[in-house]
Amino acid sequence: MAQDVLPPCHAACPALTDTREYVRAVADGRYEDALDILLAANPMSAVCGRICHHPCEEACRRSSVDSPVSLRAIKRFVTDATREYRSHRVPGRAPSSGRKVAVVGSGPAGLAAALDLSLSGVDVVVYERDERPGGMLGATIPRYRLPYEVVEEDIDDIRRAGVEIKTGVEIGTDIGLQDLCRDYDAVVLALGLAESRSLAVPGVDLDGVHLAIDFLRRARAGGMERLNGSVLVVGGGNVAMDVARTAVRLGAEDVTAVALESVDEMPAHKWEIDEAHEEGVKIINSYGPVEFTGDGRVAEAVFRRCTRVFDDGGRFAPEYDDADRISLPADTVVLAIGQSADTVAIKGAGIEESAPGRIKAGPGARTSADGVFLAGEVMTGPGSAVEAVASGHRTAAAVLEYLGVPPAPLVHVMPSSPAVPDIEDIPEDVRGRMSRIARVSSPMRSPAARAASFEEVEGTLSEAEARKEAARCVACGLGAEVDPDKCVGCYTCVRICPYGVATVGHTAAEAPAEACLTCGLCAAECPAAAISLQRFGRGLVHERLARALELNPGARVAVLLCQNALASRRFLTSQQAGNGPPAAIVPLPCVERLAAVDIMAPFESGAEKVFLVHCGDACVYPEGRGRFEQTVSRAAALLKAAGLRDDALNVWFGRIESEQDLERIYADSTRVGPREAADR
Amino acid sequence: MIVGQQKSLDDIWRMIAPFSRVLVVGCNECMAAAHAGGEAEVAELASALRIRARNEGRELEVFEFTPKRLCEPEYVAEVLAEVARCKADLVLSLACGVGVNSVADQAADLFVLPAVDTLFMGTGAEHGVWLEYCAGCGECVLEYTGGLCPVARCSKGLMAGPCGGTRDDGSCEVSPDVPCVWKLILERATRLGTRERLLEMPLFKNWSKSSSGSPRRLVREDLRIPTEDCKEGDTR
Amino acid sequence: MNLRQAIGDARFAITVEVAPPKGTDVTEVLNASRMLAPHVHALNVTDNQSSVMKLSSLGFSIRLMQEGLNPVFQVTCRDRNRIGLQGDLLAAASFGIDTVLALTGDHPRMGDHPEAKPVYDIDVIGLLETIRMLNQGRDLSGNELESGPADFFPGASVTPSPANMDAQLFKMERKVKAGARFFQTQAVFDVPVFAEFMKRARDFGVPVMAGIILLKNAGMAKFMNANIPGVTVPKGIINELKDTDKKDRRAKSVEIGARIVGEVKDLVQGVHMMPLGWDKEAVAVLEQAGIGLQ
Repeated sequence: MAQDVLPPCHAACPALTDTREYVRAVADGRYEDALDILLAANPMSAVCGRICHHPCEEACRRSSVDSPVSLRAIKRFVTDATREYRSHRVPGRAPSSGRKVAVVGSGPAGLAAALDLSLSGVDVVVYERDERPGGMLGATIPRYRLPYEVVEEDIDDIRRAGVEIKTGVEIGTDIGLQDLCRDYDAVVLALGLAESRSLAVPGVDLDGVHLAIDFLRRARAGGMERLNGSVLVVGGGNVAMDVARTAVRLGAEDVTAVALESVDEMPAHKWEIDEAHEEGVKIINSYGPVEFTGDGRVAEAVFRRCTRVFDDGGRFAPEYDDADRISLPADTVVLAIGQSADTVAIKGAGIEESAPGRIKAGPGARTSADGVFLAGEVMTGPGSAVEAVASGHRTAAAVLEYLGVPPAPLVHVMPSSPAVPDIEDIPEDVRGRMSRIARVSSPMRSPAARAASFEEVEGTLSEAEARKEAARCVACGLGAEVDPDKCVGCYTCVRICPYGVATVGHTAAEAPAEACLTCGLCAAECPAAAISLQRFGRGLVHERLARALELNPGARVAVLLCQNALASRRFLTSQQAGNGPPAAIVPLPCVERLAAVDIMAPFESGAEKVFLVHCGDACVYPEGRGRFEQTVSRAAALLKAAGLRDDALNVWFGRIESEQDLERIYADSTRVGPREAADR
Repeated sequence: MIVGQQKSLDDIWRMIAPFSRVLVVGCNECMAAAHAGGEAEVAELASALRIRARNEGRELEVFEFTPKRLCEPEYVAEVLAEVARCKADLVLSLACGVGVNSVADQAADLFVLPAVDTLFMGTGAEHGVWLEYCAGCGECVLEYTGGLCPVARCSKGLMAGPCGGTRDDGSCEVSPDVPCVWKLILERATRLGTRERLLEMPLFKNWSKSSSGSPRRLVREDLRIPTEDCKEGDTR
Repeated sequence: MNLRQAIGDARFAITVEVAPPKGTDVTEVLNASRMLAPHVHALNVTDNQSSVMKLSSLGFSIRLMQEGLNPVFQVTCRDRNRIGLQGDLLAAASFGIDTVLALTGDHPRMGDHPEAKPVYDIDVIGLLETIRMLNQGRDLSGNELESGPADFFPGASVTPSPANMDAQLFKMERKVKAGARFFQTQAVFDVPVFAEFMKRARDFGVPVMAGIILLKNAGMAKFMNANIPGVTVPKGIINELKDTDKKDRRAKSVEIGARIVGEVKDLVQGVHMMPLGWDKEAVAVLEQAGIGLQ
């Protein structure tokens, strides 16, 4: 990691996805780069764009101002927008090391580990007992959340990286673990937690009482019959929510989830609970099952009040009030109270189970058997897909070390310590000066429509929406950097910072990373050229202008535009300025950051006319607009003095939603007159 | 700091007419703080000159260089190296007049021209506003006036109180933007209880110590490094 | 009887201002001076008033002396350094001119040569101290005057501005201590305010002559309010002028001037007329106010 301190979104990602960079790439219109950035950390990015529990968003520093950037939705946009590119994308493998590794289980942990190993030149075979790979992603996560085609997108990539996946082969049944250990240099057990736990209460063996994983697996495979009457789901976790919502879709008239935990203690994500509610699922909190009764088939379930789920040490130790009981009618009961691993693979292999359905991991994800490693939930306990991916990366690193094979450059190296220092919250006084900007969220179908089928409930942001949302990111930590050798301590930065962030210390100006919102006004105004913005270097305008002129050598018109003004990147390739001369289009992260000299640059290159396009009301830095207008006037004064015509410099405020808007820019921009320097 | 203001582009353009390879030289100290000649303004002026040359079809190469300052011989040496590197036929200075003189004194065969009008010693009171605070009169009277300078800040440099030209709002007859410093001095002295001190201020200022005397020169023998050419007592 | 004698005898002193021309022909202003002279103790000769370049104050003061009239030689610190000031004072004395009004002088920016470099080598207190030195027979550097002590009778000005009263009184006191023997004030229009000022100025024990400017019309009053520091023409007076027919304006102007003179005469030890061209009217004011040479 080049930086000491990460933006919180980046640090919060279990797989350490470089969130800020892919969002910047989206803003730049570099969607393919964004995909590369995503995949560098997380090969299951398409999957995670659908179902990730997005700790990045929880960590987003905008939360303290308005609401977090819709990072998962942007990620989903990226993977959806780049399918064509991805289908041709072949990650380069290191030369073969001659070593071979077997991975048992093709869930996200197994696949992530397999990919890293394969990229590093190891021959990898993944064994999957199901007919199709993906583990729980393909087998139990409901289609309405994750269509299998999406899982395949990610898996295809992994296959292209040289990973062989053998499906329909169960280790422990079809092939023994000892055989693998003999045939391969190492084995990674990424078994997942694929078995639902059951309950030792009377009536669990009645007809109509199911285990969650079986239920979901059959439902996903289309093998679940339509449901009638009342369905009771026992459990308060995400799996319980999946079951309940699946039951709704299977036609159940009345679906109730009964959770041991109180509302606040429920392990399910809040949005899962909310969506379940919307779809008609009822939730009863703080009751645990006592028995299921019925004549051969379940008809009723009895619960007692749970007075406490966890002891003072936070351990699971429920206490009940036997006097407080409820009976609920139930035509179907699904138990979603936790999972364990199916350890058939290790039977007789001399590998210790730490608890039933869990395997003990030693340092470096090792088991007690030499050369046998663990990855994913079987080792870590229940988690999310991205956590499984992170675990897969770590295990792959351990395996490579064991094999003495160096990790390939493409391999995502996770730091050994999971705790990465991140940027502190935005200080209160800075927050107070920031504008609130509405979050663009993924489109959701109506609850009624959702409940009626297994079709995906959520949609993908349009390009315009994704770009608008990406613009809300202030690129935390990429703010002003001061060259203390150049700083003259003139206080210009301090005086013009709209957020009161810049200070002048004993040696030079400073803009603390945790407070800087990266607007760059200080860099534009610094008379000593001592400040540069990490996200908008001093050379950027020249660089991009040169590129635009390369694309369009004869350009007499240049358009310096805030790329956040663009609803689509297709406008970047537009070459004609109306019916007039060809235009060089120069996209920039922001035009408020421009110094007068930047605005003048195209004229040096021969432009006769320059249009500045400011994203208008979409701007995340409305506080800087006045300063921008002053800078433009200043440039206009210099240009006029240099003999240019009054219509040489023009400004347009607003988003570019269509080709007509580009035409309007050329037609309706406001000429900028010089603002005279006041008399001394 | 020394405060200055860039000359108009027209004036600069007229000045540089005979030259074809111009090195714009800034000062990343006072003139930067004055937003007149730091690295950023050097770039701006250079850009404006290039654009004008292009516009008028004139052959003109413009180079940029911004040393830390230009007021010491060592900085001038840096500039001269840069002149040689880009084969410039003119140094166009965005430093204060000190910088221009420094270059002229050290480079007998090199043209150097000022692109800045050097204004005064003062403060950048707010972004875009600079005020004269010190006239460098050579004999500081601030001990009497509570720190507010009548020499620099009174339009007439009066020594013994305000003239009759104080407007009702406390501004000077010369400009409503200039506060009557004598009014401020008196108010401050009243607040601090030091009005008597004002009467002790010399009425007849020794202007020979100011810029009205001969060009000033400060020699500190306690600091000066003795050389063969520069013996004790030689203040040349 | 000249001003020095009038003040020495504690008579009610009367002066009037005359301005040298921009040119070399002084006929007109000499005629006016002759007309005014019988009504006043002395004629103040302005020194490039408002920084507008004119024939010099010294030159015209000499002409008045030669005509047998009594000049008050106005001297500002704007255009001469301490050498020039002393030299001109000695020149004046050599023509018998002894009454001097020491002034700071308006800034050149106010006049018709706004780009001129002002001098202000010494200021008005310094000028008064210089006169004291000359009266003691020495120049500012302590060199003895060959002719022995001079005998100047110096006066000074004061602006009775209510907004800056403290500062003006501070300066006035310094002028008194530096040797000012009489004061001529900036124009007075607001008598109650002026009375307040006099309550405090009286303590200095130096005669004060109230400045009287004739208002030619409401526009002039408004202009003065906006542009002449320390001068406030009350709204009532402006309205009075506004409501007067053009043909009756001179009479009204005289009436207002006479009224002010009448109201201030008991507060002060004299009046100083600044007619700005309305010389006859200035005389009329004095007559209407019942003020004559005693």
